[in-house]
Amino acid sequence: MSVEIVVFAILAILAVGGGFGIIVTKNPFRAAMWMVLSFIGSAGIFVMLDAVFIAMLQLIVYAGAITVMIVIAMYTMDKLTLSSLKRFNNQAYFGALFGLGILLDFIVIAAKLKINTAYMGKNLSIAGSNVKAIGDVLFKSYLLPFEITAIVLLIALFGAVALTKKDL
Amino acid sequence: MKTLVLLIIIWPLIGFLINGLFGKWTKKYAGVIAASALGLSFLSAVYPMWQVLLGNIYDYVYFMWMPFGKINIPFGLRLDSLSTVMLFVVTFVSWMIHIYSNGYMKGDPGYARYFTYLNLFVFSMLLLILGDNYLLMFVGWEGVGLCSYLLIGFWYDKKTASDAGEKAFVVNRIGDAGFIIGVLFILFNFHSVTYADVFPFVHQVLTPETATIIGLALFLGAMGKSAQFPLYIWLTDAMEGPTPVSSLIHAATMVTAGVYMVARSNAIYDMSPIAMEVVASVGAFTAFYAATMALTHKDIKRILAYSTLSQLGYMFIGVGVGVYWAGIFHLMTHAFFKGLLFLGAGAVMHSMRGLLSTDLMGGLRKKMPQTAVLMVIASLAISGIPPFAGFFSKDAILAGALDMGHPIIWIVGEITAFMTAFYMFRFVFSVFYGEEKVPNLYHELHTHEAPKVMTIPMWVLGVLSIIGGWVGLHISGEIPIEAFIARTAPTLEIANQAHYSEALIMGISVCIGLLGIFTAWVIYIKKWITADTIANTFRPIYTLLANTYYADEFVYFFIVKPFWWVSEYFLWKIVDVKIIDAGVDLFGWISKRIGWLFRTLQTGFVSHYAYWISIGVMLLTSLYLIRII
Amino acid sequence: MLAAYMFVSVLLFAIGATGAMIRRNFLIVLMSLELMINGAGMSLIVMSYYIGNVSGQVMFLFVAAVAASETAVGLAIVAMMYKNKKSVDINDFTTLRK
Repeated sequence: MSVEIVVFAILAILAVGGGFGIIVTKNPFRAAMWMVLSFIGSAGIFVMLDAVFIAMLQLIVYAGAITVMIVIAMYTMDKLTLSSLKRFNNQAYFGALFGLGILLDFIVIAAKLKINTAYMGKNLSIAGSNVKAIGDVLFKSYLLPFEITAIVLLIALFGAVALTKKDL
Repeated sequence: MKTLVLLIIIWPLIGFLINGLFGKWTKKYAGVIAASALGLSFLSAVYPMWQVLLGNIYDYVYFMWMPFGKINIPFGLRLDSLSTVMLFVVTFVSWMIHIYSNGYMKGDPGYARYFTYLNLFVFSMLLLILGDNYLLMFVGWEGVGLCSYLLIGFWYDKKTASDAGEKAFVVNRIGDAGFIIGVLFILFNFHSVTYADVFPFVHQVLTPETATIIGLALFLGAMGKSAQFPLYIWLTDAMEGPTPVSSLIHAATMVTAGVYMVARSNAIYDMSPIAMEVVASVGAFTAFYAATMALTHKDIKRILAYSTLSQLGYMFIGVGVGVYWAGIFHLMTHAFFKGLLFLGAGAVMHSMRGLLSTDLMGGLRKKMPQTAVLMVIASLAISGIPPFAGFFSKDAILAGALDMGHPIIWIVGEITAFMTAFYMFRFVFSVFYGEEKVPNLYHELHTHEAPKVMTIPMWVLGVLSIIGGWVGLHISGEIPIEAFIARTAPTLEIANQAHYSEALIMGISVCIGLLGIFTAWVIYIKKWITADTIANTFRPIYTLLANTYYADEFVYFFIVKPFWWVSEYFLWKIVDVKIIDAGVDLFGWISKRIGWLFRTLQTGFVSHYAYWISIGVMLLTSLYLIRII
Repeated sequence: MLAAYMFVSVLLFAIGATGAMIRRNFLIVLMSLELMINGAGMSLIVMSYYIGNVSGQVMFLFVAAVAASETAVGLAIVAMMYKNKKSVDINDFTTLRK
């Protein structure tokens, strides 16, 4: 039982347990909290995989910005309407079944993965630091997608504004 | 010469097209156009006919009608002695009847239509007799059947007329099935239907059995077309059509197509004694049967219709025993005198404003002297009294029957000859002689002689009825008409062919004919025994004959009604409604269900759509998994 | 270990998918979608580690950006939904039905 596995187990339980929390709980505010917990678990896993910058990014963007956005949206609404009487749909069992099916499918695929692990864990040691590694690639090979993503964000902004305007 | 022969059939076709397409504008002149077309046709035929008389044979192919590689069916016209005789009869008698129709149909609203159909009819008939292969003959065969239907039902708003037309066509069709089977057999055996390819090789290709089959199948067609028993029921109803039509189609030309066909196929029939026996027997039976029915009827056209049936039976006796020339000879003379008889009946109806019962006539000779004389001439011809035309041809047939070894047929024929003479003169005496049966009827109807445009053709036919038979006289050892026709249709040669004394046979025939006339004179003029007395004495036989042996009722109950029953209760209620409709409805039902299925998928609930998406994802990944497991 | 990491990633995805299907509250559906994206992204990072290529992490960057913008637009939709019907229950919005 190495330390690595124990740590991984704890983080994994955090991530998955948070996920369960989201889909089970009735109160959406609580669900947001569970979401944060899940993201923290994910960030921990990222750190284990030598992607520290990405882990920080995850915490800032996901757990920070997105969760806050959702919670602020929830503030504008009436508490009673948010926690509606029923949690699940009428065909919830089918939903669970399909979810199980998807799970099984992907597990089988994941288990059959065969990759060339020659360079395992080398991306950190080559570049020295994760930020440097990402920066090296992002602004050289992936410059175009980077710019385009910027435009996507811009358009999402426009979209959000356009959807909520009173008159167009 | 080739074009001249083609012109013979083109003239009536042109007449048909002009009257058919431009009838609205040629209204008044339709009759003139049609008659001129026929006249031109006859004139075009004179030179070729004369050439054939001298001994030439013409067989022209104009184009390849159906080239199938191994089997080629040409469009060609053949002029040999047999078709020449038919050609003369058809063109000349049709011409006379066209001229007559100008007067008879005057004032009828369908004037142009009538002449259109008449010209089309003559075109089809010419195609039938001049065609050089069986298929072309069949085209003409069907064409005359069609025109017969059109012309019988000419006054189509009268239900009896249109029903009669339908009856003619349907009964004809039954015969045509047999004809087609025969032609198919020929095609199958000879790989060709052209006369020149078939007849010279009959002995090599056919066995007596196949020849019998072909002969009987073809004769079935002849039975339908020439109204032999039992396919005769249409001919009497066909009298619903205009009288010139009855004269042309149902006396002189169309109904004789069957006889022509048998004579043309003489090579095949020669090989099959069974088929010939059938032909002769059916002919004899029909002759007798029809003559019995003519004894009691009072409708003048009906009497003549039964007479036609009877004489056709004679013609089939002729070709059935093997004396083909005699059958064709009788065809020719019959065209003359029967055509004349119908035209005369038409003249009587014309002057009687459409009445046609002998009960209403009598002593008409005073009002219509020319018609009376002509009718007497024609009746003498049909009764077989020399020197009129019918004697030579009828005698040739009966002598031939006896010589070829069919004594029973000879006896039946002589009895029928007695009946023929009797009913014909019964007709003549009750209509033209005696007193007026209904006083003042003629005065009210303004009965008068027919106009010249009608009487002149009748006189021409009358002259032919007298002299037309003289080609049957022995001239320097042989009979001209026999020698002429025998070039194409040689008389059957059989072993121990008897040669009874010609004079004796002739004498017997003449005596029987005179006896028939005498009997009619006794009953209808002298009234020593009146017709009513005889009818009452033999009441059951009289009823049977007067109701035409209940043949129509028989057909109705045993053939028509079951047919309708099956059509209505089985084919309609069960097959059509339950099976076919249900099958088509099934497709509609499937569409509805599929539509319902898809409609219920569109619930409007987003979560349901999410389900379907995830199902899709699962299916896709499962497919992928199946490949890698 | 790779299998374990992938297992976690797949589990997160499946849970997110289930949540998107069965919950009635639209906001929680949005959160489930985030979870799904997070699960997919995690597999990217895992693969990046095991193959030794940093491109996987760059891809996750883009994915995160797009996820953020998607959530923003989704929240705009939520706002409109609430304004129209005073409810965020997805079963109330069935105008696609006809």
